[in-house]
Order: sequence, then C-alpha cells, then structure tokens
Amino acid sequence: MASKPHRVVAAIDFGTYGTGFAWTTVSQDNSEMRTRRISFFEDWEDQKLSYPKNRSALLLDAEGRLLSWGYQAVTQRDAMPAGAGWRLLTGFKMSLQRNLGSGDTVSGDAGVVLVGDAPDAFRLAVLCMEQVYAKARDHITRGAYQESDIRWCVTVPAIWDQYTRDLIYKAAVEAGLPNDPERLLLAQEPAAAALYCTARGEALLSTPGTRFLVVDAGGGTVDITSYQVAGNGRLNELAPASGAKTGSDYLNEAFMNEVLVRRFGLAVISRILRDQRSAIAGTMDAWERAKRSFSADSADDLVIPLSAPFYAALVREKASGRWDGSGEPVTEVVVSHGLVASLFDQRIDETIGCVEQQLREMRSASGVTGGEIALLVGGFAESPYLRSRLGDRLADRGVRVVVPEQPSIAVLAGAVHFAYNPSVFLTWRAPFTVGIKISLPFREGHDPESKRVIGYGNRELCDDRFDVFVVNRAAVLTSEPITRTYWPLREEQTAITIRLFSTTMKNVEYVTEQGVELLGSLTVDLSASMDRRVGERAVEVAMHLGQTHIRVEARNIHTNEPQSATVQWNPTW
Amino acid sequence: MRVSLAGEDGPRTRLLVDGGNGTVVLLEEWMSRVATDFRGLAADVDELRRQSAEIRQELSTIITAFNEERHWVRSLPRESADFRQRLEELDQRLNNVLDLFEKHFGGSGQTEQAMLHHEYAAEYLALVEQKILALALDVLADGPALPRDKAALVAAVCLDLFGYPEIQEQRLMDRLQHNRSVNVTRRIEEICSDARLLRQKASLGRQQRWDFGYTRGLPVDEGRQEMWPGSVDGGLVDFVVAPAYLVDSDTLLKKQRVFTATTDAEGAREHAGGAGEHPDWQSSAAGAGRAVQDLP
Repeated sequence: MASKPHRVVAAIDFGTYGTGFAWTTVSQDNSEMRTRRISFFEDWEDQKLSYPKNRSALLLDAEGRLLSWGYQAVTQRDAMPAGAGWRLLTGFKMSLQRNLGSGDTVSGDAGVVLVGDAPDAFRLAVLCMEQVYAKARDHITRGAYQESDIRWCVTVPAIWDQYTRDLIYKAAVEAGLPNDPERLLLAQEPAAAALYCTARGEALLSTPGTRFLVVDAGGGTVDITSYQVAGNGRLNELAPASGAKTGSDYLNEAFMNEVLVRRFGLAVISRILRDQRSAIAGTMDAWERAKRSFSADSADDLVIPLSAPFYAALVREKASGRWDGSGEPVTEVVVSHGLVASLFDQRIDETIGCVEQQLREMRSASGVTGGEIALLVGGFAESPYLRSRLGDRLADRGVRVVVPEQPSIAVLAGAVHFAYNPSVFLTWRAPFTVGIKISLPFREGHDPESKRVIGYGNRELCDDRFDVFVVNRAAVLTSEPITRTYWPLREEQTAITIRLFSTTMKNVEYVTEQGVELLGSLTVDLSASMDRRVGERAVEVAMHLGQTHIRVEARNIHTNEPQSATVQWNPTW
Repeated sequence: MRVSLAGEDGPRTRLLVDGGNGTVVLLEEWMSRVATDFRGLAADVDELRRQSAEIRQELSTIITAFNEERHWVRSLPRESADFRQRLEELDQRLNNVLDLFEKHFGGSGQTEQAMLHHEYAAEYLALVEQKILALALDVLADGPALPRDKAALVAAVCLDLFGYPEIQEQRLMDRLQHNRSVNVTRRIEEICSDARLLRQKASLGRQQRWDFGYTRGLPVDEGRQEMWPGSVDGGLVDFVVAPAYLVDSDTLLKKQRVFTATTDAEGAREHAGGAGEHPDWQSSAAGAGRAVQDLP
C-alpha cells in the first residue's frame, strides 16, 4: 500500500496548440479500464464556446506580467491600448526542446507568433501550467476530494529527450504540482493514446502477441511508438519512440505563406497581423476546420471562408490604396485540390518515412513481419487525407490502420488511464546506451596507457571506463531500478561524483569515445564515512530507467542518506 | 596459638589466639567474636536468600512479561497485515463512497460519450463552411455574387437542413432547380446525406438543438454570434446564416453565424428558433441576374 493512497487521478495534456485536463476517481467502478468513467472539463472561464481544451496562449504586459491566458488572451490582445507593449505568446511547448522549436519565424499557428526564444519557454510553460493546474485543482476539489488525494500526470512527446522531460517536470512542480514521483507522473503521449485505444475496446490490443504502432499526429510533432501485448495484457515497448516535427501546425504555416500571402500580399497580411491579429486567427481556425475535412476521395477544391473581421480589414486595405494583393477582397479563398494535396504531401511523406522506420525497428525487435496495427491518434488524425494516405501506404506493408472514435482526446483520456495504473507498461526500450564513468582494473595490452591510474592500495586501474547500465534498444523493466555499488578511488576522497553518459552505440568501453555524451552528474558526500576503511565507503547508484521520467538516485550506504534525487540532465541538442 | 601460665591460685592456663594485625586475644573472646560473626553471616545469608527470592520473583515476572511481549511482537506482522488490510478495505470503501458522492453531487465534468458532440459540432461547421458554401459558390457561379447573396443562399440551405424536424431535401432541390447543374445536384445529395447522418448522431447523448433564434436589428452578441464574412463591420444583425449548435439546453459548442447590415428600418424584431424568417434571397440574387425559387 502506498503511504498516501490517491483517490483521484488527473491528467493534463499540455499541448502545442491547446491544453486541457481530465480526471477519474479511484473506485471499484473504475477499476476496469474499459468501463472507467473519465470526466472531461469543457467550461473554461471567459471562453464563450465549450471545448475540452483552452488555447496554450499567454498575454503578457510590457513588464512580462500575465494579463490573461487561453482564448481570452487571443481576443484581449486586439484590445491592447496603443503602445502598451503587450505580447501574445504561444507555441512555447515546442521551444522547450530547441531542436524541435520553430526558431524565430512567424508561424501560421492561428496567426499568432510562436515563441522563438527558448529561454523564455520554460517560464511560459510554468505560467500556462499554473493556470490549468489551478483550474483543475479547484474543479476536482470542489466536492469531497482534497488536493493531496490527487495523482497527476502530464503528457510529454515521446521524442523529447530526458533533459526536456526533466524540464517539464520542473515546470510542473514550479506551477504548483506535487514534487513527488509517486504523485506526479509524466506520460508519453503515444503510450497514453495506446491505452485509450485499448480502453475503447480495440480487442486485438488486449490479445497477447499483437504488435501495434501508435502514430500520434498532433499540432507540433508526430510521435511514433510500437508495442507488443504481453501474456498478461500488459505492454512491452518494441522500439524507442521516434518522430519528427511534421505536425499540422506546419501546414498552417504553409497556408499562411502559400495561400494568404500570395493572394493578398505580404505587406497587407503583415499589417493585419500587427494591428488585428485575431482577424487572421479566425481565418486560420477556418483553415484548421477545412483541412480536417480535406479528403483524397473527392476532387473538390477547398473553400476557406475568411473571418468577417479579416474580410473587413481587406476592404479597408483596398480603400486606403495600400492593396497589393491580386484581384479584389473576397469573402472566401478557394484553394485547388492539387495545391492542398501538395501542401499535405510534403508533411505526410515525412510522417510516412518516420512510420516506416519505426515499423522496421519493431519488426527487427520482434522478429515477426506483417499483421501489425497502426493506431492513428491526435488532432491531425482527424484528417481524412492523412488517414487515407497512411492507410494506403501501410496496407502495402501488411499493416492495418485504425483510427479511434475520438482521436483528439486519445492522449488526454489515455493519460488518465496511465495515471490510474502505470504498471500496465511492462517494459520500455532504452533510447540509448546509458552508464557511468568508473575506474576498473587495468588490462595490460588492451587499455591505453594514458588511462592508467593508481588507485587505493596501489592498484593499477584504467580510468574513463563506461560502466553500462543498459544497452541501447534493450528492454527495461518499468518496475525495478537497476542498481550498482561503487567505492572511492582514493583514500582521501570525501565524495564520489557519479557522471552519467549516453551513446547510441551498443558496444562501448570508454566514456571518451566518439559519440559518447555527458548526460549529467550527481555527487554523493562521503564525509560522514571517512572513519571507515575505503572498502566500507560504498555508494549505491539506482537508475530508474523504466519510467517516463528517468531518475537516478545515489546514496551513501553507510549513512543511508540519498544525496541527490535526480540527475541534472544536459540537452542532447 | 600460644599458651601462657599466670594467676594467684596457681598456674592457670590461658589459651591465646592470633587476633590479627599483630594482636593476640583469648580463645574465649575469639570464639565469642567468631560466634558473633557467624550470627551476622547467618543473618546476611538469610537476607541474601530473601533478596534472591525477590529477584527470582522479579525475574520471573520480567520473563513472563518478556514472553508475553515476545509473543505480541511475533504477532505484530500478522496484526499489522490485518490492520493494513482493514485500512485498504476502508480506503476502498471510502473511495467508493467518494466516487458515489462525486457522481451525484459533482457532475460538471463531461463523459467521453458527451464529448462526441464536440466532434459533431466540428463536423457541422465543416459542412457549412465547406460543402454548403461550395454549393453556394457553384450556384452563384454565373456572375459576381455579392457577399449577402452567398450568405443568403447558405442560410436557406441551413434552414432546410436543420430548421425542421426532417431534412427538407425536396424543397432544397426545388429551390435550386433553375441553377441545378450535375455538380450542384451531386453537392445537394452529398450535403443532405451528411446532414442526415449528422442529425442522427447529434440526437444521441446530450440534448442537442440547432438554434436559429435571433433579434433582427440588434448589434451582434459576440458571446453567442459570429459575423459571416462580408457582413458590415459593426452593423446590425440582419439574418442567421447558420444556426448555433447547442447542447444541454444552453451550452454553446458552435456560435450562430449571422449576417449584418448597416441599418434596419423595421427596428429590432425577435425571431424564434427553428424555422424562423429568412433573407429575401430571391430579390438580392435576382439583382445579380439569376433565377431562383421563393424562400419559405
């Protein structure tokens, strides 16, 4: 029994475009995943329309103070007094991992400038999560539950590295969520989606031996993972998550640049973006809806009605003589089927490439080819065009594509299932070889002379040896940490610094080899054990590799005090 | 021991013994001392015996207590397990009670089934903006159409699809008979099919309705209405282009799309929901040189 049982599990889906939460109560009625009753929140304050997610957007004043968030921030931005210097910020989630961010460019993400400044992204993520956490906490505890009854789960893209996962954990804690690994979990988005599909009754996903891919096509990224159903219905990951920044936001950017700018001129669009951002946002919302109905089955062109304020702004541009667009202002733009298809194809081809790579990996890991299922989830999964292109391509490879009834809530609902019972995942696949730097007995004729050192008791040792905890692609049990014991090298040593390294290589001997990167370090104090012999000053290192949020703990065995709970991860980019 | 002779009546024999510390004492005296010592020792032995009995008693009590304690300690894991199990059972019961409480008195969260209406509402708006607007563009393709013409035609189609207990497919066909190309016919059939399916799905779960109600001549209620493109910026509501999608009596999932005009000579007039009044599409479209049927 846990020291403090959780009575509610709640998930926060912190998305590139929107953020929402859902929860369920821990009870007999909810013990079965298939019949579990999940509650979704849809009544955001100041949001005229009910919707399960609010916008991941923040409006800050000139001093950086929060004015509003969500949809309210988007609409309030247009009411900015002249010269007030307010900033509307969105897209900060993807900027947390800089190599996945969109840089300093203007995005078509509903006409709002994406955050290009990565250092700001952490603070903005904290601010946004503060809002959604406060709303979720207040809502769930308005009845008989207390905040301490709740186990929380925050979703993260599977392709985020450990540094960024650690960053989002810290952001969540700074936003007010509990700093307790038992009460604050991180869920890989595609893994959560897999649970949603299982819960929704996709029978094969409970059949032992079934192998399936999850393709989570969201706003910013496409995340792909693969699993095999174990004998007890639990899931073994077959290959580390992969993916790319080929989410639907990039189609929005293409629509902005390839359609709107070409049609109405860059100067006109820039002025409207500057003066009346929500006018463009309304049109981008219409495009968002249009692209979700774009299908390969029909040759019809796509009609995108411009928002009334956007049309009015175009008319004013024309009347002022600053018009540099083609033709007259119009109330809708008609985009040819061919052009839309080409915009889609650019991104879908990349997505298909990633899916095929994952398929090869899962087939190699399982030793079986054919008969797989591909679950397509996420907001972009609602696109009939994506479904049919992916379906056609994968059908040729013996893979059946399945889209759940509500792909857009799959991650959120699945994260609730994950928080309810994280042990449903039996094993993960290590995304890299990970280990620590140690000294081992020197091997004459094998180890380089430059690495020869003299240790305690005049023993000849080889420095910089890579002590492997887990090999790249190896299956790692989610329930048990990997533990090792180490001793100081020298008599006078009052601390041991554990340095963690990773590499994609499966065979590695020294941490100085090409392609080996320092992940982080932690230091264990030995000063309380200096009265003991060196052989009694042992330090135990436990690596919790089986969890979404990898943790490394080290303790002085003599004092039994953990010195550092988590490692300071370094970015891999 | 030494023997000494002395005395008036003749020699008397006195037996002297070593009294310790270099002294000698008479045997009688020595024996008396010894006897005294023996008595003292006997008393001590008695006292020790008594104390020993007491200690034995105490030890026995302690051993008994210890054995009892040991027995209790041995039973602790089982008791602890029992206690833990009881706690777990109580926890589960508490969870079930809290869950029941939440079900009956919480109730502001939505179920997965209820969330489907968000999908349906999105489908509805896509139908209006994509297929119905595309139909309007096809119908009005002969010449330059005013924004109001397009809005009026979309409004008429929306009314036939969502303003009555059943879809008015024949009325829609009749309405557009003079503009009906093969493509227009195909679009109408497709739109009616989609709308029929949508209405069927939307009728399940949460109580749902299409809200056509509006007050003509009032400014746009931004909380419930959104201007259709081509509307007069800052104008007054002229007619409803597409109804709002409402669930649970007044939860708005999609706003009403309205067309606005500069003035309203008739002043504010309330229009009920359902099959209300509609723009005179014939007159505006006729002005653009196209023949159309009367609106309902």
